Amino acid sequence: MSALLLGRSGAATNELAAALDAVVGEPPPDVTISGTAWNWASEVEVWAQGVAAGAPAAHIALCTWAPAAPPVSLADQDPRDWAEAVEVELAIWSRGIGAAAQRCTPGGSVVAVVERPSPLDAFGRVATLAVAEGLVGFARSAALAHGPRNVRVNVVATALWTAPQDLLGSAPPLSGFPGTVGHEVAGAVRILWSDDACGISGTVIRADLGRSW
Amino acid sequence: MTDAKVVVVTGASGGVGRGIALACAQAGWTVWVAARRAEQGEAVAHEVDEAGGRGRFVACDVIDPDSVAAMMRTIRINSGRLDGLVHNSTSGLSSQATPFDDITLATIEDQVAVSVRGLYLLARAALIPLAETKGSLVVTTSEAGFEGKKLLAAYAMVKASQRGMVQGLAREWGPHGVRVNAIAPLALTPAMDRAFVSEPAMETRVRSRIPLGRVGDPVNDIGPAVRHLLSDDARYITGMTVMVDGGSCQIT
Repeated sequence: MSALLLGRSGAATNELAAALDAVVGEPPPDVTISGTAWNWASEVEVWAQGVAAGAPAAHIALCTWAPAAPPVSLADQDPRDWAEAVEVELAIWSRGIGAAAQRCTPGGSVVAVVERPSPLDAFGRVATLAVAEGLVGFARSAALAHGPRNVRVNVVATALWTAPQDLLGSAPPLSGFPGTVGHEVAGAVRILWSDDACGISGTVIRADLGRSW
Repeated sequence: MTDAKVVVVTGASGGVGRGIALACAQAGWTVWVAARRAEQGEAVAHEVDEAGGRGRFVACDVIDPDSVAAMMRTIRINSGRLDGLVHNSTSGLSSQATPFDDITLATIEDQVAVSVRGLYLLARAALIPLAETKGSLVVTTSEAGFEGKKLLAAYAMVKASQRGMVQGLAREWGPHGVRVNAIAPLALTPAMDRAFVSEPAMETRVRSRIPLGRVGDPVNDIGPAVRHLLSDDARYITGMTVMVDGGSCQIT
């Protein structure tokens, strides 16, 4: 059956698509922020409506990763940077998850891949956590709304882009932290796409080598 | 009871915010009632006085950085310190049911602004005064953020987002001696009361899932939990979301 991947244009999206044997859909728009009002919302809405109206697919993944950035404390993160890192991301990917759920065929599966550092690795990542947990909450809502259509919606949480060089606490139990796109992350998505996950919806699989729980 | 503290509660002109303000008043604390509506805010400040605290009203729109800065200046000038900040404000659209597939970015924007941007602005403005007193930040989230809501998806998203911010801020502010926690209350607010009146079956459903058999009272059930998190008795609690819901949430 068909598989669709939605994500920003780039190497990570392409690598995940290749590992999943998925077609890459239209990327979300690169919006320009001006002030605090969401003047860019119409661009996101057009994209989301295009996603929803596309050819139905049984397996859809959303690669919500933002461009990697160094950690920055909330006190040092200026309002424009915050708006780009949090408000734009929440807007794009909440509408993307909603559109994907609408497009998914009954019996199918939507998986949002979300960067979510463990609490130990959270210093300088308040923005990342705001987006990650927000999208988890939205995905659960999607699972509730589309469950009656037998569409499952779940999240794979990753730690690829925010893993610190020096880890606090014990090392993760599995070697190879933080994992790779093509192996650990793709594997978790495939599990949730598979028929073996027919009873799993509204949950989060943490593909971070056991770092968080 | 712990030493008298100075705390500010946003969105305190009614409901849970008012309950938190009055519970803090019972401890003899100075409570700054922060709200956009002066008439209601002043009324709650007066109730704080009557409940044993010292009530003050301060106008604040949490999505406006200038308004937040002005609020903090007012508190600094008049109280000289800040021991606790409770971000309780929510969007007026929070309880507006919308079918999941009909949700719009306009709805999402308003809720992100109040709950997420508001927390960002308040946290940035409050870190220095809270660090001076080794104080505490508490955020009012919701079980919606854990469970998701098919008719309140934007609300569930921002409440979950706040929980993530609490974890991150706890990590960043710990070295400053400042604690950051959240509560997820289930309280009988005016909005819920109206919903129960319009749909009695909803009230039956809600009550049936609560082990303690009742919806929480903002002053006597929710407020004390927040007061505890703000107090020195909670000096070793940070990064947590405390469910104050009579056992209703189904987290495993």
